[in-house]
Amino acid sequence: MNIEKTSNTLLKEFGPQLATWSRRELAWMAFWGIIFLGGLYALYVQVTEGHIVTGMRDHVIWGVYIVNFIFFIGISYAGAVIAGLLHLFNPEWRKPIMRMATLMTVISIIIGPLYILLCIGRLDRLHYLFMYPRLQSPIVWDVIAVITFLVGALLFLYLLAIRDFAILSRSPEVMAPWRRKLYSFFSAGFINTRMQRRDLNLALTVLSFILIPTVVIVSSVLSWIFGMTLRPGWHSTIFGPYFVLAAIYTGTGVLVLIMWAFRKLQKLEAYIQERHFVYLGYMLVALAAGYGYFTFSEYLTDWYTSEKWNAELIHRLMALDQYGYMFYFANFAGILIPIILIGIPKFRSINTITFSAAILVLAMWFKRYLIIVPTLETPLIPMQDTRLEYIHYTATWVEWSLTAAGIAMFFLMFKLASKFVPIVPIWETSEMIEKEKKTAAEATPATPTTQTSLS
Amino acid sequence: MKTLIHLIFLIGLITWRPVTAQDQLAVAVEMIATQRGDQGIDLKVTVTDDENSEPVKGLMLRFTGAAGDKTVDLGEATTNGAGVAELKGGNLEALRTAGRSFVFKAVFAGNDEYGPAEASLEITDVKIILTVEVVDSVNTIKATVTSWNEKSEEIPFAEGEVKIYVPRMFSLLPIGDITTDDDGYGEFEFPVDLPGDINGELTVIARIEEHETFGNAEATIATTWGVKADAQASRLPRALWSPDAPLWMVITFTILMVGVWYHYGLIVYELIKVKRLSKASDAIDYSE
Repeated sequence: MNIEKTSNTLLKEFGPQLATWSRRELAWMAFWGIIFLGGLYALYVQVTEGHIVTGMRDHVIWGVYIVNFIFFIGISYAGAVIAGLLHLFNPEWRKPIMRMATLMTVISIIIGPLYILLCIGRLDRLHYLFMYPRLQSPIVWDVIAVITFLVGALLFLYLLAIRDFAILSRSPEVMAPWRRKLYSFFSAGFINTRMQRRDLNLALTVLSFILIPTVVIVSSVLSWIFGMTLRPGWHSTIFGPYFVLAAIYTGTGVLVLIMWAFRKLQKLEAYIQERHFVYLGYMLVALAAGYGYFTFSEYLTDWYTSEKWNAELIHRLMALDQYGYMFYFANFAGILIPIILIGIPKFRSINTITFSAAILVLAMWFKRYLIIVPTLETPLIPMQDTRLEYIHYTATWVEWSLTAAGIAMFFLMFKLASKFVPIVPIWETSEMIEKEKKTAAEATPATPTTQTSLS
Repeated sequence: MKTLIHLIFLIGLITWRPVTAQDQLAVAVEMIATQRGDQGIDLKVTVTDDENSEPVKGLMLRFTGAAGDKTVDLGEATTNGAGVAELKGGNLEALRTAGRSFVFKAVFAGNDEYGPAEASLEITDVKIILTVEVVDSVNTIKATVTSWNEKSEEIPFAEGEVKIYVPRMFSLLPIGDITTDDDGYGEFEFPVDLPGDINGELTVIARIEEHETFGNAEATIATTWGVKADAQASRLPRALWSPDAPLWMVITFTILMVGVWYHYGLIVYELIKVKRLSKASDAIDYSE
């Protein structure tokens, strides 16, 4: 196989994209940059005036910051599971989207915990968490889990990028000298010897094996922050697997959105093809079915017991003058739309899969909101003689701005990362193209093939 | 510049108007009194905004007490963030010479923001005498409650309800009630299993609460009837609530962490090997 030649061809295409900015990309950066700056101003307001500028009060102590934390952390876990599984099962088509999945993992795991910092009233005591940790506390479990996972995710991203760093460091005609020096440093001396390939593959396989159970554990740990609490809507034995499934479901949706955005933004239609959307679409349908089952089981058991506080919460969730619209959107539209639009072949296309992904991602954000806020508005002891704003939570402009800033940061970091390392892995995509060429040639030996993504 | 200053002064003169009663907000003042065992008085006032019932901070209130034709100034206090102003240990000796029925007033004189307001409370003097005694090996709290009639004659407080508390770390622990007889006397069998300090010391509080004639009244007494606490705190078992986590949790956590971080270490070791192999003589080979 002539992987070197193919990778050189890809390098000529992707190399200049690393060093230059198109108008479309600049507009993208400006758009998200403005939103991010708005978030910085909101942060300034919160720091100077205190948490009174948020909607969080004595009773509803968590709001959209925690929703965002769970949302981003979930996306991150999903990225690792998808990348890990794809690496282990080794389907060839995976290769162009592996970098996106791992970048999504790392960027989300960096952004998610920032929302915890926004939520904490006494940041000056944050170091106590490390100085005086209590092993019995789910919060401590979560901090350790997130840090452990962050290290694993960074290692995975790096291991997958080493071969590209090596290629980029040896391309004087495309890369500036300072870039080549940097790539050379990060390439860890990879010159593609047999032994190096063996060691790198071994490291990747070991890490894939480790990351998947790690994701299951850390995602469950996150759910136990709620599950270990005696509150209606939280104290549930299925919260662990429910959170794992919800995280992978959301993350797969976000990956589809990222693929769609970068396909358009960097004109990657030749590499991120319809089949990538379709395969991830199949995954979404399976996950939607599983997630739908868990959701039904969770609410049915709460509703059937008719226990006073659970019944009050269920009423609050379903009443149209309270959380009804959000509830039906999150639990019906977010599950059924992907199943219908992707499951029925007639409707299935890149655009409908992307649309389904957008709906489910939005629905899953609302779902996290429904887990946190209505429960906190339904405490186990009656609230009397208190102010209305203490009972009902409404996010303020500061919280919305910082939420938007987190999304902006996600896309900005993604774009900046794509200027350092190609968003489509050069080496692995070259491997895929060469293998597919070979397979096509073997399948039809008499007919000269013209099917190549690069032609 | 001079013209500008004149202009500003002129605008100020035209737009200025004195603060009127219509500009001021109304406040509601509520007062409760507690007659203390040392014959002093505690007065507690809560001030809230009349419109939205929010507590009002920083208002200074003056407290006075009157009995018969005598009025004395008891002092002043300023409301805190909860809208509460407290006067502790007001001296009633001067008033008692004039009578045993008191009228207390808390007066807020008003400021630019809030209009004047006041609250008053009328209560009759009451006295709780608390004693402790071991009767037939039973620790007994004895309370005698007396009051004063219109002629300032001391009379027993019959069929009165006196609640008994012991202060704990965060609040008062109710341990029982005494109902007084015709002589204003009642007793209570003190429990034997209440934890005290290292000497077994405990404070007992007897309270008359929200009585229509007396308001609140209380008396305290110290006893040594508590269970003596260990000077050396006993070691807590491994549990969710103790400083040391259960052993199974520590073992599970250690296995998980060592398992994951060991493999991270292994991967870093493989990376180091990749780096070292770059110096090896093995030829570059792109074949699989």
